[in-house]
Amino acid sequence: MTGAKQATHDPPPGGTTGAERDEADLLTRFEALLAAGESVEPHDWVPDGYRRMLVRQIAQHAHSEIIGMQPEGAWLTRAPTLYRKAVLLAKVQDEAGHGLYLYSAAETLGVDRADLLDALHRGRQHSSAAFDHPALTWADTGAIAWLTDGAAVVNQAPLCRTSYGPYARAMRRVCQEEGFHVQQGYDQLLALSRGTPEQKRMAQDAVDRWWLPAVALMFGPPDTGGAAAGVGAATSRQAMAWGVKRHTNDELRQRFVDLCVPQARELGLTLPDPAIRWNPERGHHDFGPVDWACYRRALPGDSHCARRRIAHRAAAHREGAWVREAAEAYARRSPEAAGEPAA
Amino acid sequence: MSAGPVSWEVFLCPRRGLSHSHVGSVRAADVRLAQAAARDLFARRGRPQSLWVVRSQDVHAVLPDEKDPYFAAADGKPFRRPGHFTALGAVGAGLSADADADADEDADGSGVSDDH
Ligand SMILES: [Fe+2]
Ligand SMILES: [Fe+2]
Repeated sequence: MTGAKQATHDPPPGGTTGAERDEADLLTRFEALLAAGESVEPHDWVPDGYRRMLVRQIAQHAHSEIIGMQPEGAWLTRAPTLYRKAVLLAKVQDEAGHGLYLYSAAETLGVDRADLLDALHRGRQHSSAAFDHPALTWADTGAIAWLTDGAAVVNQAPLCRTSYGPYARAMRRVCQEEGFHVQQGYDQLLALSRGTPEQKRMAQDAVDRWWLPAVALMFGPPDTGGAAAGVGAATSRQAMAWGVKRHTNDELRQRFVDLCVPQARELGLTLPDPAIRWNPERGHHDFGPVDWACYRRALPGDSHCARRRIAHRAAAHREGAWVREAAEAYARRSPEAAGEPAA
Repeated sequence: MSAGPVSWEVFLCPRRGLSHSHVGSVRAADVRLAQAAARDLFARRGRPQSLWVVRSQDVHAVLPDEKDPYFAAADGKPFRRPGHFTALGAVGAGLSADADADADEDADGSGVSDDH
């Protein structure tokens, strides 16, 4: 449920116990919920850090869904057939829906989606950098759905059991549809791969360009082992302690690579990483290290493409203002339509 | 809180014979826009039997913090629970409401089913 009403929480009236004692009691109750694997709900007291972590993560996720509409959306008017156009339109509409589920979930934490969108437009919050790449050909829409949505499924399936109830429920809806998108992207790439040599080249080229954004940016920085792990590891540990995350970025990245290798083989396409090979000792595929220094430079706000995506989003919001104002004006004139009891 | 369209809770009944359940919420300026947004958001696949929208502010919840005093009457009354009494045994088969009422038919939790 949305609305600040549920999200604000007054501690129970303090009697003989001080505010600190109350806070300790509340914390104990919160930790007991987590330990029991129970979901935390909007009316429960939560530590500030937990609320902040969730708002940041859910908002970033919601922003990624709606910004992620753009690379594929750009191909809606140029789809090769009416069928593929209808399919792509449905997929892009699903992504808008994912954004809306998630903004609703964020609002249960006492923030307002208008403020979150404002933060996105002003560059105070970001979407995943995975979408800050141009979709150069029609095949990119297939590669994005297969790889980026495929990474999303791996990343997000464990979030269906995340400790915060409204987020988990939103993720269950999202994941069902993401799984569907992966199949759709695979189907599209398969059609191209089995088409003319030129179509197959186009599919391979798209996979070459979207592989690394999916492997690197959809899973975030390395958070296990070695010196590279640093800050990522600490954040990951806290997120896991609170049951927000269930696996490290690196575990999920590995799972994604393991899933993609046989699928790429079926598609007749190559993953652009010569280091990929089955490692029987680990029972996983080895793959090449991600050039994180290169990616950090391309992180939020810096790249030209990222700026274009945000500018496009902000312009659409601005240009739609008259529609929102007209709807509000109409609702004010007919209070019944606005759901208020008749005077 | 910024001004903007108000929040509506959405309830969906997927098919005949089931009750409406809460599926999420939308923001919209009025009833018809809320219904349209709810349809676009929660009914893109399949055709539901029915869709409700209710202004979020019209939902009056009893918070669990009030649980102890408020719901205390449910405690300490084992005679309100199934299994408390001696089972009817073979003679009673088919008389018990639980016998073939599945969760759907007993969605209101009354334990009453109108079979036979
Ligand atoms: Fe999505
Ligand atoms: Fe998707």
